[in-house]
Amino acid sequence: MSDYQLLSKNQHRDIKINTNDQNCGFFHTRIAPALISEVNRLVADYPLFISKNSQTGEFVLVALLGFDENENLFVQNGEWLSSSVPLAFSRQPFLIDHSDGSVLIDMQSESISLTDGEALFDEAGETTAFLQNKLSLLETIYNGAQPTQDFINLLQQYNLLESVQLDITFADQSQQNFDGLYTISAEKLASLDDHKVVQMHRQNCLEVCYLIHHSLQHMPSLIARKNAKLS
Amino acid sequence: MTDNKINSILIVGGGSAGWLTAGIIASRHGQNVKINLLESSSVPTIGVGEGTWPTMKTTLQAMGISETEFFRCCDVSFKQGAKFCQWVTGEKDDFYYHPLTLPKDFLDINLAPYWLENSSKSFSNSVSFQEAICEQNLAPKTLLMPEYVAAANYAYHLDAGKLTEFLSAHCQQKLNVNHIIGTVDEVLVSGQGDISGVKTDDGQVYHADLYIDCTGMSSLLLGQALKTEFVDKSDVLFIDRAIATQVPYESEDSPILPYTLSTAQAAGWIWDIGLTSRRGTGHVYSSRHMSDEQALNIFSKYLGKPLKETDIKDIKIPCGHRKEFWKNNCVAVGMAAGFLEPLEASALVLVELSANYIRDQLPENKAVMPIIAKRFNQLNTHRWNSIVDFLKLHYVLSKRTDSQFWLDNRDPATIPDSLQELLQLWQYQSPYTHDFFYKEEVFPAASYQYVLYGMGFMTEAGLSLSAMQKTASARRMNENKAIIKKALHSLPDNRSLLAKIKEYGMKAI
Repeated sequence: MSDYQLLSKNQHRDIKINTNDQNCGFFHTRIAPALISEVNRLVADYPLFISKNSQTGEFVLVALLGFDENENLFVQNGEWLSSSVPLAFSRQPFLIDHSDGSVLIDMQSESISLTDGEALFDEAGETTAFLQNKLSLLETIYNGAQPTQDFINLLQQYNLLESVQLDITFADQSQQNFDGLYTISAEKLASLDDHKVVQMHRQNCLEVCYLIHHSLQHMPSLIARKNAKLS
Repeated sequence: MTDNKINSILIVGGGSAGWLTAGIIASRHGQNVKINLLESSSVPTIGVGEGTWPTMKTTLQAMGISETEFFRCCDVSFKQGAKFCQWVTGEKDDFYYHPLTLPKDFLDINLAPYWLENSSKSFSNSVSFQEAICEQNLAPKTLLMPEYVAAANYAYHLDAGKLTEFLSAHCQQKLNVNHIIGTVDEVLVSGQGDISGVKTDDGQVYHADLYIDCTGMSSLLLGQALKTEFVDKSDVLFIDRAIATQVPYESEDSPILPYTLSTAQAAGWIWDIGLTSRRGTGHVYSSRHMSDEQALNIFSKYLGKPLKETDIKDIKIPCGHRKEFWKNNCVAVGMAAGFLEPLEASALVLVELSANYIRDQLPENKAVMPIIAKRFNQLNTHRWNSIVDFLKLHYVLSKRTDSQFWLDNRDPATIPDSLQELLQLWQYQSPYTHDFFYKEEVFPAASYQYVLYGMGFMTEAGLSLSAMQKTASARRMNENKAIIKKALHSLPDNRSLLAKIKEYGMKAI
């Protein structure tokens, strides 16, 4: 359970964030939402897909982290094995309210402490460099949400999405086929009208499309991670 | 030769039949053929056809309709089949399902013989998972599935009045159908017996190469102008009256039943269809077996509130069809072609099948129109006869003895020879694909199985099953059990999913 409170100097002055114990509950997730502004970073490690939100059916851009529910193959003993961490994790335990930009903190988060970790405010009550850094991440998230949504809308408008059928047999012969994942159809992208290609390029969407497509090459290594875990 | 092409079509009638036909034909021919739809401003549509067949999914999709828009505009809910209560013994616990999902692996294996030897559960529960999810009021799909895709086959419950408005807008805006408003004053007939024009009361005359009569029960073109004979079926199917009313849900979270509920009564039955906005209900009965007053009392009792005559819509059902459906340059679709009682919702599916045929076989040249008309008539005569047989089957298999209505229904003199023959055959073998000759039967063999075995009909085991058949059948039935378990766990509540579709919509892919 989460308990999000509006971040305030008075109320949260003594709070510290324990950055050593990264093996928090929120890391245990099969997919993580991603923003188009971080795609060029995430593409180094993760297969990226467009997935449907199970509550709303809306398309969202995601990084695939594992196969079973709550399985994140990139975190081991609380350490990230990848070079980049999605903003959805590094923002924790903070959240930004997309309606008004206010910053919230999850007081139920396991990383919150009164003794160990990074302080949010210094003795003078000024925000610490640690919190400054978090706030700038949250700002990136806040600014990135709309362009990401516009990108997803454009993919739908231009009919560029295609569903991905994954039928995987792991080393222990267990099988996994899951649907609900979509990618950008290279074929449809290639046959797009000239003016649409230009429009996508001007909106910085074209490169993202190719990066997402390219990221599928991480699937074999993700399966290898799973097999290594099984053996 | 160009003057012998069909360049224009006039559809007369702006109810469900008219607009569906317009949409189906225009989505294929809208660019090449001028399609006009003449709608009367003074004749109200009948507007009670609220149940469809799963074919409607394909029909809407082919017209380029977004299923989400359709759900939102027409108060649509899912229909996964029909639950028949009190049809067999009339006792309180008497019910069976006719689900829309075929028995497991139906095209590969006929599970009925094995079930007949080893029946412990209901037939539909043994061979399909749909009864189980219907009993829990679950939806046939999840929000993650694209439009028109489902875990369990489904059709729709819809608001018929809203459907015509929705289709009308789509046909005009997207499919190039021209909408004319005017009341038909006179249908002009040439010396050769062709329709030569339709005159409206403002003096306008509209001409076309092909006229489609969607004028409902009045059958203005095919019936009245071309004097096509009416084939009365009321000696087989006795239902000839309907009283209908709309009922609000008791509360905002009352369940929306994901199936049509049909409850048998002393001289007919009551339909109960849950839309997102309200329930649509009606009592159909035989006026030869029951007075209007009795019928109203039964209906009031069912709804749990006294009904006045002003609360209800009163409909006379002329049970039967035209002898020919396509005559010269005029073809009838919908109730202008015929009408039977609403059991098993055959009205809209016949509209779709007829309109599909016209779309696919639209004569390239008027010279071949008589050949196409002849074939259309043969096919439709077969279809109407098989629907009559299938509907009659529901009454013939009943064991109710509480009224003359049920007794008369089992009088062999009222059972068509074709049905008697099938019943005789099915005493020794279960209906399967061999019994049906046409590619597009309205009701597939599976439907006959669900009704026969749901109503307790016994097919005697003839040749015993081979060990291999037994193993294969048992495996399917076990798989079905596992699927039921999984479906009950993963499918959402019907009302919640419908609310989410309204709020978020479904995706096209």
